[in-house]
Amino acid sequence: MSSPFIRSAVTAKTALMRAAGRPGMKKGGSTSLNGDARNDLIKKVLFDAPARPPVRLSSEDMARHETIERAWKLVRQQHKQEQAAGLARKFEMMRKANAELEATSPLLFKHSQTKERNAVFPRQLRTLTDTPPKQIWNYREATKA
Amino acid sequence: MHVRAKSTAAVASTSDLKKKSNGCSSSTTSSLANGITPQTSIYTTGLSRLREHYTTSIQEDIMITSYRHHHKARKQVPEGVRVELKGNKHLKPAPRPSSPNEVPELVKIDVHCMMKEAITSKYYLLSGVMAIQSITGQTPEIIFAKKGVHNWKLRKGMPIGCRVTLKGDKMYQFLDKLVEVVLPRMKEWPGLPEGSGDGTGNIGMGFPPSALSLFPEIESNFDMYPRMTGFDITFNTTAYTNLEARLLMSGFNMPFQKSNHSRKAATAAAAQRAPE
Repeated sequence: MSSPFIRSAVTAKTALMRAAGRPGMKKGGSTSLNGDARNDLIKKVLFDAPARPPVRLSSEDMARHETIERAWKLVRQQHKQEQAAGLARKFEMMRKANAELEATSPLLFKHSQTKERNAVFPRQLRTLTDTPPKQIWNYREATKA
Repeated sequence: MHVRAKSTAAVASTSDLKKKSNGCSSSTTSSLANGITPQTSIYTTGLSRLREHYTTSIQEDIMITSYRHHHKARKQVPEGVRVELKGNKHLKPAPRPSSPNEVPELVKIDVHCMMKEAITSKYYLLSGVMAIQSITGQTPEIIFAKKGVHNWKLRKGMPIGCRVTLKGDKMYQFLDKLVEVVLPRMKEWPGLPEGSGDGTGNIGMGFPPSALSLFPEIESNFDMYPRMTGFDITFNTTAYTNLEARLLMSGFNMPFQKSNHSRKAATAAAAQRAPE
């Protein structure tokens, strides 16, 4: 038992163990499941938790629910269609540009088609957030490159 | 451990970080006539930050970068014909010509954990299952050994690991947590290898047991997990090549190592373009 990650049952909180419903803990007896009372709680949470009762709606509420679901589906569908249309437009322009370049100059076209291997987005790429970062601009990093 | 953990339990134990805007009903097969809402029709209306990042910021760039004007058609194997390759090689799906409808996209993330201690006692697995459930917000399924290995005293049918497949919002949330919180905290991790990928557009990575304590859900109640275990993650994408897969994952801020060779090539290309 040399791993630093193994903790004995002695360090586990007693209150939580009582929540697991182990009668042995009150008397201080050893428990099953590798002698670790935490396993008992985990087993209970994972496998023995009672199923939630199903949500029952009246017919009116059901109609409202279905309408809302359909409306949201419609909104998502419209967004997806807009996105796809935008992508298709850009792709078509790119294809035309490539075809024109190929007709104009084979050498330039060949250079345009050779790509940098292992091209990746820069590490400084910032994913969109609601609020600005704590550090707006890193002068050291910017002046280095 | 022959019973699969109920999905309602996962709902009860999801972390605070998860946005739970949908109501949780448990029945899946009841008809609408009973007035019971089926679980499948409930959508989260909350925003998915990385999905929006993909659609607004990086999807077009990926489409442009991976565009090929002339498609290099590989030898097509007709359907139904069995082709045997030498060694352990297998047939790879042939890449399709560039198209606006087929831009490389992240489809699912598989989180998998195998615990060798489960050979001696299956209850060691509980800690791993709980940890993965806390991290991902979804109950993992338990994996049983397909065949026995005598040297490790493994018998066929023994519960030995757990796995969860994340799709959609949950997937993006998990990736977000990984990239923003866990990976920056990992000690001396230089990034994924430059040539990573399985050849068909998927990228895998492994984590040591110490990485588990970096997740906020586990960090907050570290004592409740008897065993810290390592796990591995597979990013499954619609890309056809390693390059496209890496390009896609780098768009989500997944760092990749840059070898000296590629750094030199990049600077040489930049220098060539500069005087023009």
